[in-house]
Amino acid sequence: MKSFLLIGITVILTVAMLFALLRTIKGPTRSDRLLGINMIGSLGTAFFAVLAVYLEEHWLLDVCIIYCLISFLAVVVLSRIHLEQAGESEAQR
Amino acid sequence: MIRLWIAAALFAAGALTIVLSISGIFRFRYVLNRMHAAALIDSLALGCILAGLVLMTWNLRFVPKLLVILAVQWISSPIASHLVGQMEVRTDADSCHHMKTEDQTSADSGPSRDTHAEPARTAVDFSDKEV
Repeated sequence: MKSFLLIGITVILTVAMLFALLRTIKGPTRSDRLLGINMIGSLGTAFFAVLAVYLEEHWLLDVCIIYCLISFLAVVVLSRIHLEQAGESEAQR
Repeated sequence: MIRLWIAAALFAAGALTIVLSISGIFRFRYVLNRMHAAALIDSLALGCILAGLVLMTWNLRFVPKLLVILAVQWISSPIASHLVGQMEVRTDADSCHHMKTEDQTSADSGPSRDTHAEPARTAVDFSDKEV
């Protein structure tokens, strides 16, 4: 039952990641795309944690912490880059 | 065995939250509304799934790291949402039309209109002018 539960939640997380990727591709504005990237990062964090428990390898949880921090850093850097670009284009006008 | 059943219930709650969140990001029309649906995954779904994993393993090697993951995600997710919202409000000139309530559209004058120090600095103009 344990492996059945873990595989079931993994399937749901994978399908949700695909839909978030669809939102990232379709998104009309850049904020929509950034939101999709943020969602994929959160779902990937949960995916890594489930995988660590399924394989019973506790070091995968360290990878999971690093993945969580890097996905947060990606959101921060992308939003800063976009804000700086918008500020430059406003200054040129 | 009772821990496994509680973990199964928590997993079901997490899966239901994920389904609601995915339907929310496709049904809402504006990005600040979609952020509400997307934040469900960051907070509630991840909390339910990691709590289920804690109950399922119940091992001293796994449980502290799972709690650290939950703490990191719960601290970093509001900051990321704030940055996405800030980016949308500063760069989208039309965002004030999406944020109007019925009171603001019906009222023709407001006392707070004169208090804008630098109206040209940001892209958002909160006045009620019809363009």
